[in-house]
Amino acid sequence: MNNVVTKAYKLLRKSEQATDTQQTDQSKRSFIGGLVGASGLAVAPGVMLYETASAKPADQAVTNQVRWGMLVNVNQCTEDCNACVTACNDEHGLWPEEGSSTDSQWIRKLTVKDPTTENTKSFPVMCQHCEHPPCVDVCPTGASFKREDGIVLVNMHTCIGCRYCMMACPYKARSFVHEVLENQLPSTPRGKGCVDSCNMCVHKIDAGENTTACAQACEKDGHQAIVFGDLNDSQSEISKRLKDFGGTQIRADLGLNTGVRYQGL
Amino acid sequence: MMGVIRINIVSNVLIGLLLMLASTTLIADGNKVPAPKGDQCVEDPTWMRTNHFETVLHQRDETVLHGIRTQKHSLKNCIDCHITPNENGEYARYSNSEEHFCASCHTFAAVSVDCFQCHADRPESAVREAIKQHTANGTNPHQDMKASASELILKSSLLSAQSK
Amino acid sequence: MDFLRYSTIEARSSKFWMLLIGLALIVLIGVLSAHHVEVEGHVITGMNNQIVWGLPHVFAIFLIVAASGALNVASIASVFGKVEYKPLARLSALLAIALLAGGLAVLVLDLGRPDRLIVAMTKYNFKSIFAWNIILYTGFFAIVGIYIWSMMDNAMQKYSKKAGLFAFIWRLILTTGTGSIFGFLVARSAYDTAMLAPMFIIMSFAFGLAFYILVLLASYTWTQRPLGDYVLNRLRNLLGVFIASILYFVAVYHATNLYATEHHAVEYFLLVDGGIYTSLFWVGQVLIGGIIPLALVYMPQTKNCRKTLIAACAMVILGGIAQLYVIIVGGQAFPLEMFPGMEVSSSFFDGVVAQYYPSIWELLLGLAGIAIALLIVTVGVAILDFLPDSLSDKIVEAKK
Ligand code: SF4
Ligand code: SF4
Repeated sequence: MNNVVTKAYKLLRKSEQATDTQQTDQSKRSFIGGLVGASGLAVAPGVMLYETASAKPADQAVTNQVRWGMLVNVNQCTEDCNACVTACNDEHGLWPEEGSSTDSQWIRKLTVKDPTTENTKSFPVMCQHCEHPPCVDVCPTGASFKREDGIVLVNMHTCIGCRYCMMACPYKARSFVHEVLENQLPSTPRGKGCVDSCNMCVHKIDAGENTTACAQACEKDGHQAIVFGDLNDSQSEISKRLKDFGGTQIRADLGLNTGVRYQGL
Repeated sequence: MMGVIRINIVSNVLIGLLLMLASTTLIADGNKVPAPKGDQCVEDPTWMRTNHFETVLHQRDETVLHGIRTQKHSLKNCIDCHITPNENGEYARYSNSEEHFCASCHTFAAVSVDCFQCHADRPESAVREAIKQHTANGTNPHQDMKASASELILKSSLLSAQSK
Repeated sequence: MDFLRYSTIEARSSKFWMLLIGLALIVLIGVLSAHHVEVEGHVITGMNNQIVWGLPHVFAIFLIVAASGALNVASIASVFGKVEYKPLARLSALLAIALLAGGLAVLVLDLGRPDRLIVAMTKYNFKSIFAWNIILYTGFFAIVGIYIWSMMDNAMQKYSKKAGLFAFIWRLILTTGTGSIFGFLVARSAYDTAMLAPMFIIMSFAFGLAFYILVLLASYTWTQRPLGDYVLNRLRNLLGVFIASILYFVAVYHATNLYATEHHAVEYFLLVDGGIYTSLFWVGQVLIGGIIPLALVYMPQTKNCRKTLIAACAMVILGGIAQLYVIIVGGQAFPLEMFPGMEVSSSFFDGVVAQYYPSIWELLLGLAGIAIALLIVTVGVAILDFLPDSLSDKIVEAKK
């Protein structure tokens, strides 16, 4: 029975994906038509790896003309570097204690070793901002939702703290706030009893900065392993890289079409 | 919905009266709430007194769901303007029902909101300052509360009893 | 006189009040500990970002599953036309409602924001099986309520059969819905199996019946109403069949999983190497919840022995809790497989078996759920005619 459910679920995903791709294509075309001159062109490497031009006015709602995503180049990520994690914690006011199993971690460095070849890779994992997010599907109140621009968020005003989304996420991307918090930053409100996760620095994006704290930190550290950008814009750095080098999804078999991709996995 | 209490017209009027009363008593008491930054609120203050939760609630959904971040009705904007330092340069916390702008009135009108369980109750600079101190002391900035929530409630009520 | 008559139980005795107060106290303690968790946050429980559902969910899902099973006795009478079960039907429906209420209370009190229950009631995401379950549970209360009414009110009697049938179908959907909560967790290897939903239905039969027998025995013994061996032996046999079916389904569940290579790791974990989960599986679920009660039910020496029947029922309940613990907590303790075949490590407990030590608060809340169910039954039989005056062999056989 569960297999049937699973299969039906995957089928549903596939059909949705098909229609979504069509839509995306259309919106992409019109988007490119209107903004081709404005969208960020490839800037000198290392100077700017993110879009500069698709900032929207503050009073306008986000649209599905853009889909924000990130590409992590695993080959450029080193095992001893933790810059993205630190930057995320600073940006959002997360202070996970070492070894705590209850503190929120929005991004974490994973070390993955192939036992047969002994080959080891290290790279960050955060919410993958799935196009078909299981967390959104299971959330009873609709508190987990996907913004028009592809960012998956928790609406903490309607989250009841059931943690079903944490059960459903294939990437362990979500944390539950287990205790009363103090000194939260104005740009990242979060509190006891709700679930939170990587929000792709939505406040930065809405302010037109169009980058994330992790991507910035990685770049500043000289690794340039994280590229942030608009997946719908074929001229964006991220789209071009994806086209040239490809990008793997973690657990691609689940058909979630993640917004965070990995190169060199 | 949650967080902000929806009130119908009748109670709106009542609350309005209550708030007017509140502002007069507070003034008579010697209002301890530091003056706001600018000299003009984004809306008519009397209207704001009874309706601010509608605007904040509306803006809340616009911002969370659609990424609309106009300043005018944003909670952050309210806080930035209304929560100012006292003569010692300290920012009142929401737990301080005498000096915190929001708390002073909510306490009087017996309204309980949970906004500040998650949202900052003072401007970013003040929060950053607190974080800096924690970092200097090697303590966790979330930690104030980590002791025990009930202990804190006790502490804050003791403090307010002392200050009286 | 050999005809069937229902009446409320004597509610004036001090024994009754002691029971009532005792149960109410357990409920109170549970609610207080839930409140404590709400104030302090879940940090004081054993749950964490790896084991997000813990003991409260074990109890809650156990009670919800048992609820639909408790209705079985009534269904056998109304749907399958076995008239000798008819005198048992009212209590069966009452117990079903009571167990569901207890389970839901635990589930709700464990929420991170129980104060927002109204949000859960007013905002539905119809893609979520959880939201559907809320509708299924509410519907269950309504339908079983009508069913009880149709059994109790002579004017409604003619609808009784239809209501019974409808309630039966609804409960099957409800249990499937509960099982599907896990079925949608495609990424977790322990839940990625065809057997979970049918297994939940069989589990519900056994858990519900075990509860039913215990409640029946207690209420008849304590009120000194006659309860013949005929009824009990019927129920005893039924229990035996259900226990055997669970064992069979559990065997098939693990056997089919062993066919799928990608599930070998999780199977090895649960069956061989999972520490507490392995012990709970073999000792709790299989031995205490299966083999021993099965023997107690079918051994010729224990025929007509009520003590062994009580023991068997208690063991089925304990074994059931163990089984759900293995499914729910064990299923989460096994690391999420993001990179099959690779060794994974991180600061977020990737690639390691998650640790979980249930706290006293969770246990108290879970026990309160059981107490809520029993409290509802106790009050129910005291104010409405749920129990036949006598279930002596003569009366029941006359019915046949
Ligand atoms: S990675 Fe997890 S939390 Fe993020 S969108 Fe996908 S399912 Fe949701
Ligand atoms: S914890 Fe919150 S966001 Fe997650 S499923 Fe429950 S209500 Fe939705």
